[in-house]
Amino acid sequence: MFTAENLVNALSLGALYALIAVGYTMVYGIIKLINFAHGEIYMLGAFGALLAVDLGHGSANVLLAVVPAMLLCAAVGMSVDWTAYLPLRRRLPRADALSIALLALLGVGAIFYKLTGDSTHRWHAPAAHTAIGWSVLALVPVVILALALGEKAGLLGRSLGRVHSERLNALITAIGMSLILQTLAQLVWGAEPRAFPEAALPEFLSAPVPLGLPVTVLGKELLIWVTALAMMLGLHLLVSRTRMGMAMRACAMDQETAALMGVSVDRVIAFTFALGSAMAAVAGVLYAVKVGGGISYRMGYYPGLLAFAAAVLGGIGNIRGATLGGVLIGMVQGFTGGTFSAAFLVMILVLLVLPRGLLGEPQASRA
Amino acid sequence: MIPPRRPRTEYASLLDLLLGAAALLAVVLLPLLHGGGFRGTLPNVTLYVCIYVILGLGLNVVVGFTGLLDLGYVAFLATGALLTGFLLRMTTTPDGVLHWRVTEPPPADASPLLGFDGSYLLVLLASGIACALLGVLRGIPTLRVRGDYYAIMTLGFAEILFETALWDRSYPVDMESVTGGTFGVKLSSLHVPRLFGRQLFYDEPVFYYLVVGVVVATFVAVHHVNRSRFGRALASIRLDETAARACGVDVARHKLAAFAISGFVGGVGGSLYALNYGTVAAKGLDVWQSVLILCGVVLGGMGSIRGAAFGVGALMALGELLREDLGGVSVPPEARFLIYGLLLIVVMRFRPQGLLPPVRHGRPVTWERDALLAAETPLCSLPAPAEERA
Repeated sequence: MFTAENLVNALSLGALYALIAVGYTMVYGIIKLINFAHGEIYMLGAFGALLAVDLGHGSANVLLAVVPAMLLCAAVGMSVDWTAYLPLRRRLPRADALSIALLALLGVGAIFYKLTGDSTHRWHAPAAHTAIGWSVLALVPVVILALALGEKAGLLGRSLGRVHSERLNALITAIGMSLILQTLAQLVWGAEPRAFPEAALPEFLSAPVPLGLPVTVLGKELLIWVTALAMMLGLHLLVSRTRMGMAMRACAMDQETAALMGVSVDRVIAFTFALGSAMAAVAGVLYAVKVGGGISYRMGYYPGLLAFAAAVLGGIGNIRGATLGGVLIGMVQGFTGGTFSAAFLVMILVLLVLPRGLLGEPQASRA
Repeated sequence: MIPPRRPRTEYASLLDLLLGAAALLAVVLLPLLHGGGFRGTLPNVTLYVCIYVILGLGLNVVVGFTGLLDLGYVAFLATGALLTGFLLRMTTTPDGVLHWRVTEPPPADASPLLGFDGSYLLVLLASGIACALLGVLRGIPTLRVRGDYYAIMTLGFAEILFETALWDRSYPVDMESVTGGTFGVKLSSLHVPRLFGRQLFYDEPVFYYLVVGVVVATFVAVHHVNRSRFGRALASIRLDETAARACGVDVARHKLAAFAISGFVGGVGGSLYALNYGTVAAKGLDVWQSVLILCGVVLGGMGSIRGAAFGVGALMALGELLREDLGGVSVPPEARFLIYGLLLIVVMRFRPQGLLPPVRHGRPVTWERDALLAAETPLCSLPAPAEERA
């Protein structure tokens, strides 16, 4: 209910949702795709920082580990674009090759990881069964490769061109990508929720900050607010003042014209994915710091959905709208005791009453 | 209305018919060849696959025929399953007191309210009708949105239902006493209904044949929906909603009817699902179930009935095959989802129409071809300029 403690919590949640929501809204603004895998990127951000802390043998600071996490997520975000969405947008041999290579890499990487042995998985099946099982898994990249080569050689016949409902295809691909990333995280890090080791957390995070307010604000809450605010400001400057920002806005308006003006559209899209993913990574790390753990392969699902709801609420494609929507959704969730239903209800109502969102620009149809 | 000029029919070739008949024969004969005791054996897997095939056929009505991506189909599965559990759990004591709270154990002298032979058919019908209503109710607010927004809204509804089903006493409505909350509803042998004098357990041939019968009935019913004038109207909505409206199709009513049909089938599937497991908990029925079914439909070919049945069946059979405890091959269960995700991406990339796309006149129908055909026959036929005619 409306207590000061809840307000602090709601503001932090809102700041995190805003950080995730800008990733959705930027990608949607340019390629009109709900990047379902964005929630998974957020999850990988937390795992990336955990990995960095682990590699630093527990002495690494979480605040420093954010940087490798951001780099990792930027790379994964771009790979997601190249693997899943680029081949749907363009029929380029280069895109095909890249997509196949990355998909195969995913499969091979998982198998390699499994073969190099780990103790997180308990299973006692006979060796032959295990071998057969992993052969089935290994078959997947091989089949992809065969399909692709067959198509190139004209054995399969040209696929029937672009399908009418391209957007549906892209959405289903996004769901597939989300499934893959989630499963890979589960295979690599196991199903148990993890937490940052105590040694990696600076002391000021859990100390109250003397702000002179009637409510205690812990250092981590303040950290979340300041980081989110700074990143939003930075993003605003990037989009409004730099050449890349101008290119992003141009692509959002009209890709073909932007391409005619010399904008490398695919590069801009990849940059957008990287930028949004890096921001989501920060959100993931901050969330894990805030709740003191809960780093699990499933952590991206609800925040991802709620951040999408926030992006819709603010008017999809609009960065300031996503920020506003994120804070509002955070408020709704914070004041209703952390339930998701209320936030979804708000999203549905907004879609019905204000289909363009709070700050959305007029558009002809939402088809 | 749509002029009945171009019949939109899924013609089955002789090969299709033969293959279908062979598959049906195999499924029907399986328990006879196998003998009693299905637990963890092939008939059990077939049962499980058949239930998902029903759900896939139902989902295909909205996703395939109408072209709306429904990500919250699990709402029907869950509603049907939980309603079945609730109805079958109701007991009466001899003094006429009705005990309906699933969280309380029934008194010793209680007897099931729906204990008569064949009562399950009523429960099945009730689940279907309830889910059809749910489909219409859920559909009304979504009528204004299309595409991605429809998908997200259905997902949101499913999540809301999922969370509401777990409400306990501290919430405005005590849903726990109906759905059983986290632990769900457990059907003990007292509550399992009878049909032809046999209890409908998962290892009873009667239950097996009931499920197979429902699969066949659903297949035929959905086929007729697709062939009918109504089905063609749905196809026109899928191709272009605005154009369909211009042609006089009442888009809202057709969509709602499609939601109702899809919901009915989902509810029936959910009811059978509940009986097959004997325990239903909302916890296990999350949105990934919808994604799984959707994955199968996309794999088989959206809009194609045999495709949807084949896709969902193949996917579920593959998943069961990869389970360790069935003596199959051994991969961690989560690796299944890796394969599902890769399948979705690869199918969308290389064969967006699915493995068994809808056929017409022996040739595959894609949405693009449909659009081309529509473009070839304009509504008003003006003579084309000479150079275009060549």
